[in-house]
Amino acid sequence: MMSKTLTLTVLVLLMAACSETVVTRLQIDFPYSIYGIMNPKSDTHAVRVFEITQNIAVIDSDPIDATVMTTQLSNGEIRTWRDTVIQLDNDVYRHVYWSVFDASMGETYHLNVTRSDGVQSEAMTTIPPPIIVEVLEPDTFLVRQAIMPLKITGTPPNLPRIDVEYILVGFDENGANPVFKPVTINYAGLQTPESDGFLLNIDLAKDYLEIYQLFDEDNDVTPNIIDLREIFVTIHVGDSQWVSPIGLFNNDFLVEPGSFSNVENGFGFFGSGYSETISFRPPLVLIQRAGFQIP
Amino acid sequence: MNVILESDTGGLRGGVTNPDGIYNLTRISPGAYILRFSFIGYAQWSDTLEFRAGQRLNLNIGLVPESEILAEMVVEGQAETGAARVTAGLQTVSPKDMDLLPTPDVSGDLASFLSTLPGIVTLGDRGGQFYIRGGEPSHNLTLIDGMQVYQPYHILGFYSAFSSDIIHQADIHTAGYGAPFTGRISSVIDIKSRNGNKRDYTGSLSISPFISSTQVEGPLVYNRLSFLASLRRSVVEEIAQNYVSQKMPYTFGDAFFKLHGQVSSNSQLSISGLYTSDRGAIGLQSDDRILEEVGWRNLAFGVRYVVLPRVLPFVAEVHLSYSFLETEQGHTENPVRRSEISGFKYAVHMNSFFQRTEWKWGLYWRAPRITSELGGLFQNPDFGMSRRHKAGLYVEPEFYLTSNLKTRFTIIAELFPGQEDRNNNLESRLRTIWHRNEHEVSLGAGLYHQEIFGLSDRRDATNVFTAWRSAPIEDLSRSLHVLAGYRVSPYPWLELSVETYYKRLSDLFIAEWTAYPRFTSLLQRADGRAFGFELRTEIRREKFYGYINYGLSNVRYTSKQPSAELWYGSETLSFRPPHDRRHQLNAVLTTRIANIDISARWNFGSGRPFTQVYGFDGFLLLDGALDLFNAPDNQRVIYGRPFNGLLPTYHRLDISLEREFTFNQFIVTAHAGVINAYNRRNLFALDLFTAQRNYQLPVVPIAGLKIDLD
Repeated sequence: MMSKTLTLTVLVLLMAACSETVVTRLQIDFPYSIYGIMNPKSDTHAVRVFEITQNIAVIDSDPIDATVMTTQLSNGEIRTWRDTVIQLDNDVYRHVYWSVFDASMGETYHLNVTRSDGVQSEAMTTIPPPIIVEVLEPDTFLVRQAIMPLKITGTPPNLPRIDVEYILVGFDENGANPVFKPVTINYAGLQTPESDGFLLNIDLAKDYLEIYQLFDEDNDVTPNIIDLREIFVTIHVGDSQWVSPIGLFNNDFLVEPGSFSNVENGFGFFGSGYSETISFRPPLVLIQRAGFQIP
Repeated sequence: MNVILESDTGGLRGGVTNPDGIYNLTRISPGAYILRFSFIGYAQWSDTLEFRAGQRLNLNIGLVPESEILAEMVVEGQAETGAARVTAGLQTVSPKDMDLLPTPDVSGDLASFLSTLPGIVTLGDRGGQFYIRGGEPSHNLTLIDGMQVYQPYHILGFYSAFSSDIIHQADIHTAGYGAPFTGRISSVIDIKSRNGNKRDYTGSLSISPFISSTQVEGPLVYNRLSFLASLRRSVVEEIAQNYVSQKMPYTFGDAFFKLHGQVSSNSQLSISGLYTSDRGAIGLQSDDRILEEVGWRNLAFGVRYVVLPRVLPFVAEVHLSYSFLETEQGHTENPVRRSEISGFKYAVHMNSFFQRTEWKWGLYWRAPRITSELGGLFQNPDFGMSRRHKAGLYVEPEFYLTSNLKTRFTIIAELFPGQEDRNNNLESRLRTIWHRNEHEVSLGAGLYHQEIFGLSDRRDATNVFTAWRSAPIEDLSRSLHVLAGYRVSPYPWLELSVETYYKRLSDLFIAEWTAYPRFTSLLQRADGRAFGFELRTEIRREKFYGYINYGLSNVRYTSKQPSAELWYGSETLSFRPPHDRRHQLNAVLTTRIANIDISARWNFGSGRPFTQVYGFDGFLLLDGALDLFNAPDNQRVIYGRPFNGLLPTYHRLDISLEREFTFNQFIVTAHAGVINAYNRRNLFALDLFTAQRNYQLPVVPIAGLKIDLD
């Protein structure tokens, strides 16, 4: 018995040693990766579709085996999207499927990308409702504070991104030539909920310190004079699924397949959303209190 | 050279000269003695001496060759090298050990020998990467005559910059090494080159399917100053390529020279220089992908001055050397990635005896300058230039506690200008050896750090390009080694040894894991540990010589990538690195039949980890309502969990036959054999993107010729 076991073990080991087989590919049945945002403020909607392939290859301009359709759940209306091959700046081809229609706010759309053998990837999105953004009168009497309040009225399910862009003018190291220098600061998640929406406080003084540091590190411009000309606030409104799992949209984190995805039987993200932008120049007293200079 | 001091009462004391030919006998009681020097092939020298109390005597001896009696000579003595002769992580290798192995060339090479050691993992027969007991290639310190050689192995894995023709001896420290070795956390290979012949001119020429070589040596000033020069150049494309059934676009070569002079009766000076060059395309060619070449060049030169002052009881060595490495990937005219490391090293080493203790101490200064340019698409171009100065001193007493027990303790202090936290700059190391009759027990431990590191892409085994970089000054990579060994010679012809080791590696810097199909220089921290044991058996019989060794190794890295929690549900990612080969078995057998030296080697290695792939798609970061008709994106690899797959096992049998023909003025050595005798299809490279495979050498007949001129 002992010798039989030993012989068997040796045989198994020998067979394992002789084997040249290597399993390079793991089994995956997902046919597509899909990326797209339906924008209710646009009449054209598009998704970019990638076939999930076993080997890496340059994507060519030949059609891919995919049929893209959306179904509007409230009325059952089905639309088939058209395939367009685009060429990006680096001369690579991509497949973008698009359709022209008005996506109504509050409506839910079901997206199907189907292969000829019936295998499909799918996702669903509900178009977010509208919002109104307005600049509120700042309290200029707050000691050592420079806060510009904004009111976001509405019930957006999600604000995935809020960009505050400072339009700045600095000067080169000699102080002679003006240098135009926009700086965008991420305010995502900094809004505070209120009964009819959100309040967003733009902290000019805090942002000034960040801007000063950026100017200080930049050899083209001196940090001694930073003139604030205007502020653009862009609020991205998204459906309830458009949420980064890490709180911000970072390529290096979200590149991992599945880390930011709502596509069933596939990868990618299909959602809906739009952006609202408002611009203003804060009162001079706040600009100066924040640290900006007025030439 | 063996040194024996025999008292008039019959007591014997002995020793062996170091690679510089220096010996030291201490604690000699007053009295009459006979001093004898002997070495194989040389006439024995002996003289009578009368020692008074407190007397110090410097004696320079030069033995005279006695080649005519060599054939009749029977030498009995303790071997200093051997396949099972491992003590506290140190194995000393002689050129003869290397020449025993079957290689494509008539002469042996250190790289071929290293691949037969149980704790050393290679990725295949090309690429020139050695992983020693869990460490990575950039964790190995390789020195020849004290000069550092950053990437000493040739692109074809049989060859290094160190042919057995130029080596006097090589000390392979796989763990637990002492001073003066610093700056690497895994291993040290310390090579001493031969001095040229100071009496006669000799030379050799050889040709084989892979490499041709020439060597010449002789006196510049008779009996005082010699030279040794060696030149090797690959002939793979000219010869081997014509009958090997796979493309072998490899060009490599090396040149070595050494001047060695006896400056005075108590001092010697040597000047050495080494140049290597490698270029080739290692990966796989495909229709839609242009294969990139990888190349590297080493340059090193150094000066050593060794003196035994007449009035002071120590040996002093002053060393100055310069080392340079340039490595690049891409097309020859316009490489996409390039990395360069260079710098001088100054060192003073002292060695003396005081009562029952041998004291070594010294100081050194180094300042490697590192430049990396990582161009091309998707690269992180901010690698830049850095220089890290380092000054250090060490003290290493070795206590001879009893006649059977000795303990060496090392303390090293280093200083990095600009460093704020200097608490961790002290390193201590310990080695204890006990021996009695045929038994030897050794223990070793040590703390090590490394201030520069090499970054390579672990996802692709064919990517041998290494970008060098300085480690953050407050967070140097560190390791702890612990090892224990036992060696026994139950019979004069049999030697057995077992050694077990543990290495803890911390604050390693490795490339961040990413799903982008690109090389990244973004770093993540990783800790690691390696443990294992090695069994060795060496048989030295009259009719044959052979050894067999087995190594069990277990290596695991734990990385701390910020994105790991999102991707794998845990802040840390624990994985087997691609060099974690669990089992290795090597067997070498040599014999002589009808004046033909027959040598066979069989290597076996279990499969190494690799990362499997689900497939490929594209990735577009939707951080806003983008214009899908214009927004740029990236292709993406859908990897499985890192290093969860296993490559097939590796095994290969090489056989060679060698016969010498002696003529009046020269000796011709004819060499023939076969590499990979049973044509095992060993995987070298697996292109994860196309699933294409590249195999190591198939069965390759070899033939070579060497002419030694006297």
